[in-house]
Amino acid sequence: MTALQQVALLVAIYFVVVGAIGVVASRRSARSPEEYFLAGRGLGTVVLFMALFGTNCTSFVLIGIPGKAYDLGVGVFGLNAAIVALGVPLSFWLIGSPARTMAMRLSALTPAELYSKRLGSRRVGFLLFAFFTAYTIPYMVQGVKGASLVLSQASDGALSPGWAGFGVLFVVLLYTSLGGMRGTAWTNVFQGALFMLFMAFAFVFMARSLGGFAAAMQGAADVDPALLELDRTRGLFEPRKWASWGLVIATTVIAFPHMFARLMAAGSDEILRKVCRVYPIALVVLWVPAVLIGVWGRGAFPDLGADADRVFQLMVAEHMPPALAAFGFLAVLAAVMSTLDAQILTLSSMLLRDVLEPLGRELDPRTEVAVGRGFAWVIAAVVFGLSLVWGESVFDISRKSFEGYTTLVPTLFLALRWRRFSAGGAFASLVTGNAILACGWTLGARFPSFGFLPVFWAFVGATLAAWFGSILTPPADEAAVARAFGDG
Amino acid sequence: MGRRLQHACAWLGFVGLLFLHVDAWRAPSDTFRFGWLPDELGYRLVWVLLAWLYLLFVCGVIWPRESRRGGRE
Repeated sequence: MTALQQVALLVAIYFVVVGAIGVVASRRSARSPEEYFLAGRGLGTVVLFMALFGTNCTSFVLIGIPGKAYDLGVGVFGLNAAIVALGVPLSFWLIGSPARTMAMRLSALTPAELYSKRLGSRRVGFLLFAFFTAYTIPYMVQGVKGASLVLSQASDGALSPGWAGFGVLFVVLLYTSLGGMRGTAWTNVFQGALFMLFMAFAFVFMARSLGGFAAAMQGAADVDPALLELDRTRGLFEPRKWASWGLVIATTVIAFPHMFARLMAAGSDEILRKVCRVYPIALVVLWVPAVLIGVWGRGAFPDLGADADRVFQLMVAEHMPPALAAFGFLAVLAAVMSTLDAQILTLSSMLLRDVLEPLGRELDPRTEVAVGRGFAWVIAAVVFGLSLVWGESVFDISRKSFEGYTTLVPTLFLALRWRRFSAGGAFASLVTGNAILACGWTLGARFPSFGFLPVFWAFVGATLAAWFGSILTPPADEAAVARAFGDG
Repeated sequence: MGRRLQHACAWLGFVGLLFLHVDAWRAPSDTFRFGWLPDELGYRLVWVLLAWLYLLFVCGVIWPRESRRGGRE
């Protein structure tokens, strides 16, 4: 069997498995919008953990991080993974836990719907929907771009990136529109297990192939000794930029609407707590190999230059047994698809619940599910079109999305924790934060950032505006607030 | 342990972890631990271990109490 045939067979088996999971899930998910969009708010520990972790990890981790580590060395672990291991579980507690309960009390099915009902303002719902969409679509585009490049490379160019992207989106749509939240969560268990196991195997096999851990490290040190230390004068390693990026990477995840929706689907607070206990360990298991594969790759392929994102694929091809190497691109595919499905489902549910229904389109539950499925196909078509024309690198696209999401965090937090927080405060916070961030992006080096990243000031501005906006505008209706916070 | 003391521990732990994360006071080091683990990566792994212990405290003590008070259990 040729390498191309092997790849085709593996892809076919993989697609059949995730498709079958979608079909099985569809038997339980089409009964009601709550079942379709939030799996009946009953996800258990294992499924919830894999759904959250699978959604959290995309080609950014499997391709972007080895690429960054190739350039900057082991410091990439501290820059990203370490602070995420603390920030993500804390945000699940501080935002995810009250959001889950409040969403049940208010019968909200989407993040924007939750805040619209909590603050008694449809306009807040519209605005949040707009920002969620604006930052999620580019994030989806980078996923499709990453997967299509890997699939195209794995097929030795027999499959163009365009057709590869089309295939990935088509399969994701198939099981997402069939199985809804339950289908995507179940497939995430399979996909998450696939890419985590592959990374663990890759780590060990690559180290052995390079002559052991010490030899692999020495190989990288021989090319550039700075790869193994943290040079505080380099880019994001500079202390104020390091702190700014820590804020972004630790808080952005809770503002992914597709992560937020999965938290709303948790069966209980105890299940959420169990997930938080395991999350840091899983991050280490995935990120240490991702970073070290990039660092070792610098020793093995020192001349990649601007093609650093290729290091993961090259290391897999060169330093893994051929039978296992074929799974390398499947791991990337699994990581990308486990995020794409959640994004498509959440955006389609928001389009339905936060835009169509507030505009006066009352639908019966079955029609609501059918329209949600239709929206999923529309969103996928838009993402596919953009992936063909968007020229920026995977990392640059992701970074803008992450910074954008960070500006939403003060609103997401305060509405759940501060009763006096008002629709006016939410408006002021969302507009101010995003205006500052847009200025930072537009002005570039001319933005007066005092050594911090512009997103740091956007976050500070959004927080202050939330406070002033709430104090200076009328509070939300007391009965609505009492219902949201479960008084009486 | 009383509620006030628990919250004080939670805040202290959080601030301490942030301080240790933004470790501008640490000098760069190119030495290896155990012959293969770079100092920088070893430091971060110990930091993650501390963060994990902190999270066990939060998830085991602070969060359940808060959930009961907020009617979230």
